[in-house]
Amino acid sequence: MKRLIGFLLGFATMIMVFGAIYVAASVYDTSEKFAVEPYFLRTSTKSSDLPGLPKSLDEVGKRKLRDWLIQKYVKEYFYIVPDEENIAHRMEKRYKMPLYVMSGPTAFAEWKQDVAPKIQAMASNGVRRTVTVFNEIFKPESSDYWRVDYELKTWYKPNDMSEEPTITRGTMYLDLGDDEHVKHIGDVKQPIEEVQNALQRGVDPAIVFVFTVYKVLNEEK
Amino acid sequence: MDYPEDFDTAAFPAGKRIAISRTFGVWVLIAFFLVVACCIAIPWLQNNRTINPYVIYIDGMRGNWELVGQVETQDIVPYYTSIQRALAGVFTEKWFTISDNPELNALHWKQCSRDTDCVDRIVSTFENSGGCDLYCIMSDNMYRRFTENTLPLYKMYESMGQRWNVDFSKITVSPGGDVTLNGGMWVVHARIRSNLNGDFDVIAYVKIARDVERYPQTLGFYIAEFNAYREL
Repeated sequence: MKRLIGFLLGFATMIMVFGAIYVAASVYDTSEKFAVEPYFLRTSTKSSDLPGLPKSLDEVGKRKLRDWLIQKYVKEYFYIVPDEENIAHRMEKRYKMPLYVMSGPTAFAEWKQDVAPKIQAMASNGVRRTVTVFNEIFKPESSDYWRVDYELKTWYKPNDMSEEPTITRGTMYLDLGDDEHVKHIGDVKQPIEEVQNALQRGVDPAIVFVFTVYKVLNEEK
Repeated sequence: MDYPEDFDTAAFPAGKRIAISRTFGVWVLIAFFLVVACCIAIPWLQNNRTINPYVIYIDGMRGNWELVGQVETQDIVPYYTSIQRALAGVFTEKWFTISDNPELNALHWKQCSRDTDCVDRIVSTFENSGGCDLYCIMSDNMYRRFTENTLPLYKMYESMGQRWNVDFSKITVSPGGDVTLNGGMWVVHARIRSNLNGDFDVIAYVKIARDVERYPQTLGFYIAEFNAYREL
């Protein structure tokens, strides 16, 4: 009986020690946990030199962030800088490239086939183009596509300060997927450790948010 | 004394059982406190997790997204980055200078001998003008385009009495792509002061390449492409 009690006591102590080790390890793991908290600084409308005040994701709201991501996508789709390497990089299927990451396979393939060659030819001729989104971005109830009005300013003659840019306008229709996907637009992608690593490697911050364009229809005016 | 084993005294036969139950009681109490402490620690640590704030700068006017204010900054700037940055800024300043002295302008814009006029001119390249300012730090191809496309315009401006100079408080130079030991792309924003048209802002895309043999005065870096546009 005495030995049995001794054995049980020893056994109980051993279980307690293992339990304590397990609990200590969980506490250690918990303490190592981190979260990526994005804050946004947006240019003040008063001057491009004023960066504005930092706003947290909650303050910005997912709807506003969705609009920003759409603007970013439209910009990536059309902008031109006079650098052939830039467009060559944008055509690569690399996880650093915003347009590739933010597009579904069909949308990216169509851009690469229809838009990219034109941009590449223009870039090699020294053309610069900027993109501005105007009007409200919305999805008509009867449509599956989000409507985005944009304006392109194109400078065709580099180093000519008398040149006024050519302004063209158009409307893009974006398929952002079903309601379930739209609901998650603006969430930070998981796992969080990979997001953190990506940010530290210097990827474009836009690609750390959930956002995919599956299909693009474009109407130039 | 070996407590509770050696507590079985004849005078108090129930002593051992009481001692064992007391010992158990103490251990249970200790275990109970440990469990309570862990239960408190876990939510506390959960709430106290490390937060890595990332400030994302969204340029509403140009649509660029950049990560700013990271804690881990690169303290050491490689020499090739500094030189390229300086070269992009200095070149933009020289490109957008039209002086009221036609002789000085001609000196800035003229073609020189790369072997004799452009060697050991690092001081004049970065500070004072000794002539051949543009030619000495740009590629032959770029200089040809300058003389064909831009110089006629500049000469026309000069004859109209146009004077240009760069506002140094409004010039910013930032990388526009990968920057390596062999060059890179830079974006320069500058404000030009004009005596006839007032101030206007420009954006210039400056591609820098490297050839140590031909451009020793700038450690080999030179302007391979320069495309500037007037901002609205």
